[in-house]
Amino acid sequence: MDGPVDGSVERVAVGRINATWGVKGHVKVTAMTDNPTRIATGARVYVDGVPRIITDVRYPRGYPVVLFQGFNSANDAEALRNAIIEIDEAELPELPEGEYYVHDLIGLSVVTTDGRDLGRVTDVLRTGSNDVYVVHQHGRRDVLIPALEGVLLDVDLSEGRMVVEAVPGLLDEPPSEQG
Amino acid sequence: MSRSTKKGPYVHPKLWKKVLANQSVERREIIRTWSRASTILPEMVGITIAVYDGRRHVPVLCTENMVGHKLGEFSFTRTFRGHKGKSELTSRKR
Repeated sequence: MDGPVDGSVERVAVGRINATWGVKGHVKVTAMTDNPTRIATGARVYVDGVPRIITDVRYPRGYPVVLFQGFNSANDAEALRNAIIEIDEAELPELPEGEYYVHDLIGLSVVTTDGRDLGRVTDVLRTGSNDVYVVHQHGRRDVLIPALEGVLLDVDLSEGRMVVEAVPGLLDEPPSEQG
Repeated sequence: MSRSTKKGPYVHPKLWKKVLANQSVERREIIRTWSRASTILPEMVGITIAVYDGRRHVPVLCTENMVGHKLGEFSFTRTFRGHKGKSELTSRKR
């Protein structure tokens, strides 16, 4: 991946701090990573650009609660509210075949197997089952492409292109009769 | 209070008709539905159902571990505006 033009290190978000938790300086975090080892005890991250070390991680209700080194009270931790937790982009691992970073998919042009241009990927929705790519073209209704074996045929990041099969029901206008 | 077992799970009749029709077809189509309250039944496994989120239809592949849940659980009605820049989130096809 190309770095920024000014030579500075580009960073990638792995979480966002929402609020304090408890009285010992822990903070609640919304994870923005699928890598379970990323938010772990001993991990070195950047919080609002400042290097920090995670000294404790808990999962009280399924979401991560993190303690950073040097934060000993809820009052200290209050300063971290709404901060973004980041890592250097160079630390991102290589993904296996067929798996892509969401930020690489955003902006890809989408074409069907018969050459029809559907627009560009603007967002990736997570449904709990398959991922869904939101494809937008100016002046047209958004097309939602499910990331499924028979629909998503090819993703070419170097050419910035995604090829999809227009299976029945994918591109049709919704019928007037509901059901 | 849960639904009476005597009644069986709820599925919108028009959706059920489309599911049964789709089972016999070789090239399965994406079924559009507005019925978020319909229960996912074993007959729907392997079928992609586009569930209305109030704005558009979100295509969801029904899998075995979704049986018993409602279709609406897989089509979120609220938009999460997350971090605008790069993140470590990944995506892969199923």
